[in-house]
Formats: sequence, C-alpha cells, structure tokens
Amino acid sequence: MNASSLLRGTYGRLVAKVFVLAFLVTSLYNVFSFSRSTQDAVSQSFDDSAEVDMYGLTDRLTDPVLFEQYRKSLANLEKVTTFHDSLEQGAPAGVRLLSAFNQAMPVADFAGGQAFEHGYGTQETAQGPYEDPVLGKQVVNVKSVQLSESTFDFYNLAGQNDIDLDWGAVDYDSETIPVLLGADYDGVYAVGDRLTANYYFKPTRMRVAGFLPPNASMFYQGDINHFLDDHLVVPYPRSITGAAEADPGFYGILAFAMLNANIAVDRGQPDTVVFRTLQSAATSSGFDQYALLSVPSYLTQFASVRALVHDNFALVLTVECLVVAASLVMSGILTNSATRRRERRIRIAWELGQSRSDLGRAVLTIVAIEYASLAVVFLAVTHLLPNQDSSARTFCLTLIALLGAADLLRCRTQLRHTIRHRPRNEP
Amino acid sequence: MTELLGLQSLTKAVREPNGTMRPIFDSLTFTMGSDERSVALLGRSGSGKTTLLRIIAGLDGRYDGQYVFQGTALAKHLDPLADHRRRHFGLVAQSYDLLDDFTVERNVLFGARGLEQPERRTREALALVGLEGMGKKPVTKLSGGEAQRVAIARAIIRRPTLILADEPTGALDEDTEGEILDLFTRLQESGTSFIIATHSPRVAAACHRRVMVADRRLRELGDDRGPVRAALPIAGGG
Repeated sequence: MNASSLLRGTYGRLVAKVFVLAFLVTSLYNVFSFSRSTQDAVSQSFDDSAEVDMYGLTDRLTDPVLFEQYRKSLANLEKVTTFHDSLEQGAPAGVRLLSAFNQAMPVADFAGGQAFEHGYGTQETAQGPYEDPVLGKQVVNVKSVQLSESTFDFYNLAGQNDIDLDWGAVDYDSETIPVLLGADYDGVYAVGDRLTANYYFKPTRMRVAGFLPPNASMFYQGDINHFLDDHLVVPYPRSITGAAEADPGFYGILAFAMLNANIAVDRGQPDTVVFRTLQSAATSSGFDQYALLSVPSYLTQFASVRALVHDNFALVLTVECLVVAASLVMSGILTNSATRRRERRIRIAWELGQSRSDLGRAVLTIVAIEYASLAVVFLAVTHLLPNQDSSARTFCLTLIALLGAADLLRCRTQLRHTIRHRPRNEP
Repeated sequence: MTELLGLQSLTKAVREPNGTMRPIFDSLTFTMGSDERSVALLGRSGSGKTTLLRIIAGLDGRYDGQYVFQGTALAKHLDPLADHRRRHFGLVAQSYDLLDDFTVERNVLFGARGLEQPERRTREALALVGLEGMGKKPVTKLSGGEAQRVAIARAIIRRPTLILADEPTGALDEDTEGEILDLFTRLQESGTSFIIATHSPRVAAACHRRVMVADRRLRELGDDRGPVRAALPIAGGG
C-alpha cells in the first residue's frame, strides 16, 4: 500500500484540515504581526519615558504691530535667543524644550508632486507653483516641519539605514543646511541632492542627508500622530545666541518660531519645576513676554491611544484563543475521521503482509503532504496580506513544523496500535 | 507425514481492563501436516480461537513457546512475521475486510503488491471464485456471499500455502455458506490448506480435521477417520 491508496477517500478531509490549520496559523501570524507593529508604533512615538506632563510655550506678542516693533530691536532679539538657549541647554534634568513648527517651505524647481504641497489633503487650499520674489524662481510651498534635536530625539525619530542628521553640522550661516525627507520622497530626491528654499525670506540651500522611515510621526498641536512621510524636515540649530546680529530679519522670525514649543516635564518632577525653569531663563535673558499653556489633551489622547491599543489587544487575544480552540477542535475532528478510515486500510494492508516500514513511509508521506500544503497555503495567503513580517512568518513556519512533528508522532503511535490490536466488533 | 506448522508449549495471557492477566493458552500444542487440507478450529466464544489464528498468522508475537513452520522456528518479531505472512498465508475474516471505496478488482489488487502481472493474477483469482466480469463493480453493491468471495480472491492471489479463515460464513445464509464451502473444497483440491475458526457444524463437518480450544488447550474432536463429536458449541466469535 502506498500513500495514494491510504489517502483515497480522505482527500476532502485533508484539504479541509489544511485550510482549517492555515486559517489558524494565518490568524496567529496576524496577531503576532499586530503585536509587534503595535509595540513598534508605541516605542517609536511614545515610549514609557514619554509619559510626561506637557506644557505649551508661546510668546505674548500677539499684536502684529507690537510684534514687528519688538523684533526689529536687536537687543530684544538677543533676549529672545538667549531665553531660548537657556531653556534648550540650561534646563534641569527632566525638563526638555521641544521646539517644532510646521511652517511651509517654498522650494524652487520642486521635483515632487502635488501630494507634497502644503495644504494638500487638508481643508486648506494648495497654492500650486508660483514665482517667488526672493528666489526669483518658480516655487512650491511644500509641507515642512522645523524642529530641534531635542524634539527629534524625544519622538524617537531617526533616519533610514542608520543615516542620521549630523546635528553638529547644522549651521545656518554656512552655505548648506542638511535636511531629512519623509519616506514618500524616496524616488523624488536622493541622498546628496540639493534644494533651494525660501526660508523666512532667506535663500537657503539644503542638502538631502537622508530619509525618515515610513510612518515616522510626532505629536504636533494636538495631533497624536502627525505623520512626516511627505514632509521636509529642517533641523533647528542647537544654539542661536548671538546669531541675530548677522541677520536680524531672518533670526527675528526664526527665534520666535523656535519659541513655538512644548515643554516636556518628566512625571515625578515637582509641579513648580517648569515655572522655576522659565523664571530662571527669563531672569538670565531679560525676556519675559512668554505664556505657558498646559496641554492636557496630549496626555489624554496619549492615554486613550495606549488604552485603545491595549484593550483591543486583549480583545484580539481573546478572539484568537477562541479561534485557536475552534480550529484545533475542527482539525481534531477531521484528523480523527481521516485516521479512522486510514486505520482500517492500514490494518488490512498489515494483515495482508505489508511491512511496518512500508506503512510507516506511507503515513510519513501523508503527513508531509498535509503540512507542506499547509506551509504553501500559509505563505501564499500571507504574501497577499498588507502586513509583511518576517519574524511572524518564521514563527508560524516553525509552528507548522512542530505541528507536523506532533502529528507524525501521533500517526506513528496510531500505526503501532493499529497493527497490534484488532477491534473485535469492526464491521 | 511432513509437518506444515507446529505450535509447541504455547502459553499466552492477556491483560483484562481491570489490569489482571487472564491466561488464554497454557502449554498448548498443535501440529498440522503438509498433506492436511483443512482443520476446523472450534470452541466457545472467548476461548481463544481468533487469538490462535492471529498467532499462526504472525499478527501476534507476544506468547511463550515455539512456532515452527515448514521445519523452521519463527521469530516473534512482527516485521519478519509480516514477510512470512505475505509469502505463505491468506487471511479471510467474517467481516470480509474489504475497502468500501474500491471496486472488486482494486480490492483484490490491494493484496497483489509486489507480484508480477497483478492484473492477470487478479482476473484469474476472480475467475477462480466465480466473480469473472465483476471486477469493476463497487464492493458496496455486492451481496454477502460475493463480498466474501472477493475477500477469498484477495487471499488466494498470492497462491498461499495456508488460508486462515475466521468465521468465514458467520454472516452468510445457509445457501451462501454452501457456495463458500464448495469454493473452499475446490481450492483444497488445488493444493491450498485451510484452518477455519468456526461455530458452524456444517463448516466443521466439511473439514478433514476438527480441534476444539478448551481449557486453554486444543482437544482433538475427530477427523475423516472418525466421527465429529456431537454438541459443537454455537455462539458468537471467539
């Protein structure tokens, strides 16, 4: 008797078993993959250290006329820049200034499509290409975010392929600023390409230093996941003290933009630490036109998202347990049914004098067919899924191999039992 | 007379569901000569007839004592016993042991593994049991007598020395039983020997020799040189 004789009459059960187990393994793949991607997402944007009290910092120069008068004074600009650097570099441990601003960046001879344009995909209207008087060229206002090194690190942002920004090389008085591009820019620009932009009315050359990974995001103005895939990421310099003298017009805007920030205070710090820090910076710089806003929505949303993820994960796990149980029961029923049919065939073949090794080979072939088919179906199905996860795939293939080994062991035990015992009341 | 097979001092016990050991045979001795064509194996239900047939067939190697076939003592390992069974024995059961989803022909072919010209041998075997032309018929469409003939065709396709039949007519009516006995007689005339476990006085009477399993041993009841003893036990399989 060969495997095809043994399989005869049980093909339907074999196919059903393969699909039930494929369903089981694919669902495990999805849970495993979901678990990993969720952990990655949480660690990417909000690890435990990000559980902070967040405050908003802004200036109180809301009147445009007053603002213009204030920033035209070099002495005032020195106060602002010193105030910023005091917070950026002189804040006590556990207090971080997170400067970020999403000012659109007019880029000349822009190579990207409309999707990169500021306002695209929002309620704002994209302006389209226009003649920029500063650059004297056609420009497009592209989506951009300007941020500090502290902000970049706080949100665990990083360049692809270990290519990161050299923050020490960010010098606004040099000819070129290194920038990062969102993942959607891959194919539009390459590392080393140069862009010309109108950065606060200053013609600025930018060099593409690298790309962010897909789905890189940060918290920005209440948006828990402000994705940067289609953004031009412009780094702020580490320090701006003393820089305003060379270009008061540019730094007069930049310094206030950089004050558009959040202050992250680690949990466990005294409630007064943020006020004392600001007071200290104000005293040393002479700038006191600031206002502090609490941002409870950050924590609320953050907590909500984490809870949502965790609650759903528990739900997914519960459902998965049910799926595993149901699949195993169904697979067990199908296996039992096929085994009973094959058992009679094996017993008859044995009584006709077929050797145990021949029968063992036939059983091994069937198990190999079952689990090879299972692996093929699993690989084909997961290939079509959007969530590609090689670790989850390896885990599931290992599981298939273990299930196959366990099934083979069961079949061989069954074979031994079949050839040693004859049921007395078999028809 | 040369000896076809011999069981010497056969002792065997089986484990009961409650864990105790129940002796089945105790120093049982049995010999069958090469010229003996048929032996009826009688006994009460549970006396060990089927167990004895399984030991002779090499399906059960767990016993004490010696089993000699054609002058050679057989090992008790199942693999050499399977090879021995394939070369020398054909098995026929009361329940026919046919494969329901196979045709008549494929059922007989199932016993022809390794033979040369298996299709020709299958046709010959079917002709011998009177089923020529029925090879393509599903076995589920057969009567009891026809099904048993298919089982016999499968048993004889390898031209065995000895056919071991366990209640071969137990599920058949009297007329069909007669047809099967006629078939057995024809096969015996062509040189095949039989050991038949049975409760049927008619089958027992048709055999050349009759032995009974009783008190864990075999007792001769008679042969063609003497009458069959009266009061043959009548009950279920044993």
